[in-house]
Amino acid sequence: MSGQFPAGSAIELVGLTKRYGTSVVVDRLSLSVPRGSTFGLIGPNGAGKSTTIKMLMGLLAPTSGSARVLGFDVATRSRDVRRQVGYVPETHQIYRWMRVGEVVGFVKLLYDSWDDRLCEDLLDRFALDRNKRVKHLSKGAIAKLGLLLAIAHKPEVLVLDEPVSGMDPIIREEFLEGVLQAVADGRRTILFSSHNLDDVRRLADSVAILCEGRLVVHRDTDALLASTKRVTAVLKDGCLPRGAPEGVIWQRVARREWSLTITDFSGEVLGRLKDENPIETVTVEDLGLEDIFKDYIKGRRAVE
Amino acid sequence: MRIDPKSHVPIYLQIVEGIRSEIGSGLRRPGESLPSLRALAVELLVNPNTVQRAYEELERQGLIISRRGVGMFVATTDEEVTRGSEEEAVLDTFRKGIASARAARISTRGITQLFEVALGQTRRRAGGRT
Amino acid sequence: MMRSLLWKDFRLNTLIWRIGLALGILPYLGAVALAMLRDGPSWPGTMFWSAVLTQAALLSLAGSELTLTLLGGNVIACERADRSAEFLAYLPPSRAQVLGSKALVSLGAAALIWVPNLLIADLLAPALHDGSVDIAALQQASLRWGLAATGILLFGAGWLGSALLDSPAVAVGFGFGLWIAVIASFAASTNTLGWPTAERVAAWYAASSAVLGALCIGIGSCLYLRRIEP
Repeated sequence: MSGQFPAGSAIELVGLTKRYGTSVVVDRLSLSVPRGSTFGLIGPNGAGKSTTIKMLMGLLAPTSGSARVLGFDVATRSRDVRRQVGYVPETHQIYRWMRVGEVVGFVKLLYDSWDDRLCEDLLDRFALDRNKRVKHLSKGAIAKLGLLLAIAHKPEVLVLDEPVSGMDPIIREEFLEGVLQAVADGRRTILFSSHNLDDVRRLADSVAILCEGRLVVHRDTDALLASTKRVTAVLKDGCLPRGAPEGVIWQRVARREWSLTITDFSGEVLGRLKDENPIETVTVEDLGLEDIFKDYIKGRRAVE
Repeated sequence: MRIDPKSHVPIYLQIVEGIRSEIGSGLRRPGESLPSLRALAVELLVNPNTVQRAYEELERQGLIISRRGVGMFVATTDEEVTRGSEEEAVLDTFRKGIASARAARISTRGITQLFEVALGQTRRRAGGRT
Repeated sequence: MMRSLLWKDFRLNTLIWRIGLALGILPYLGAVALAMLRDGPSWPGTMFWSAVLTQAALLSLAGSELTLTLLGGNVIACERADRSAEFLAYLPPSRAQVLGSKALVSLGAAALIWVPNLLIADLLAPALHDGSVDIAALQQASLRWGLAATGILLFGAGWLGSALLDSPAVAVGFGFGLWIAVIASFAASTNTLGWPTAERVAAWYAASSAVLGALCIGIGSCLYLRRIEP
């Protein structure tokens, strides 16, 4: 699968930091998103996902560090970034007094790469009434309009900030279908943040977990799921664990039961665990993305 | 075919299994075209790269075939080739048997009668199955 | 690109255009009303019109100072007030283009206020003149400089307020506030220091208002262009 993505990274963050006074919202974030891949950014509320996205779109000035999108430095070439990136924010602020048709007419002239036919297609598919004013549109319709504006100019990169949060299941499905239909063709890059881990699992080639502004893990989705296991060990009477193996992201001892979530799990790791600790029995189970996510966060918070 | 994002089975393998059972149950017939990457991705609501991976795996297993410029199709050629070679192997066995019978100066009618007997014996051994 | 922006900025100030039209036309309507009242059903002579139109033009320019203040205060801040600036921020136009469009629309409005009135006062009225009244006194050309300078100050201060704040109303208030401050400081200084002649005061007032107004526009524009957050 490695040869699948075109060369170069679509998005590159180096030491990106945002500080407000003494609180650090994004802390030295570095990651790279290959072109043509779909990248899922997940994290608890307040982890800094939205702030990161705003910085890479040039909507917020970082305190330090840099962001490059399609090779352009966001701080100096933000116009080039905006011309080739479609952005769908969490809350839309489209001019409420404009009609849908006027919004489309307004935005159309701002992009060289606008595709009229695609726009018409999407207006039909999303069942948007050209004559309705934005202030009279339902939340789902506004979200679809926002998506239309982001993809009708055929961007190289699509950035979505919590795109389906608060949507009913039907609109969510229509929205995701719209994204997949128009943009996901292996050449375009998609970065999205979401609380819906099922969607992340379905759509993301790679996933990154943000916790309190810091990058906790960044991995290929399937690899993450395959290599992270939950080990439940029953300890011998009156004994406590002696040492946890490397790669433990979360652990808990409750009576005689020692539960650990281990990343990069292997037979060797299990062997060493059994050798170094007073263990009676051991079971290993696979985890879903939600469990892995929760364990990473719980593990982080236990340390701090 | 439904994808379960909560399962720890990689999505591409879920798709492989899904298509395999569809072929097995006859829902997808040999020679039938498979949906395009994008179409299946939209239908299942998954990443098209994942669909591609699934298709590559199915092709590797010989269940589907890619026809340049046209798309992916459920394999028939593989089946026919196997069939053909199996039949060829049986024909070969018959030829050898006939050659031995001729060498033992058994007539054509004799050979046919012997064949019927053998067929009857294997039929009884297989429990009545033809 | 600019076409979209200009259309958008035009539509954003619809209420102000309506107010401006009303303020601009009102003196002329007043002139017609006066004509009706004075001469009844018959139509007054051209001299009447010459005099009255000249006055009306002046009043129209004066009333339109309000229009310019409202425009200055609204033009940038309105998009911050309803947060639509956040929408515009991730679209391709540069901040310079966005600001340029607003400047062009404002310039267009100023031209629409001044040019017709000047044409009426300097071409139409004299054409109707028959020499029986001193038109120059009516034209009060010197007053125009004062009006123009005040207009620049009011608009400029509103523009600066609009660039700094996110409430059009407060920005307009800032516009008026600054003007009143200038007036007050002139009044105070003439009382304490004493000025040679009324003309001198007027000249100084006009010059400093214009300069201050231009400065406000410059500073406001720079602040807007350098900001990253919408």
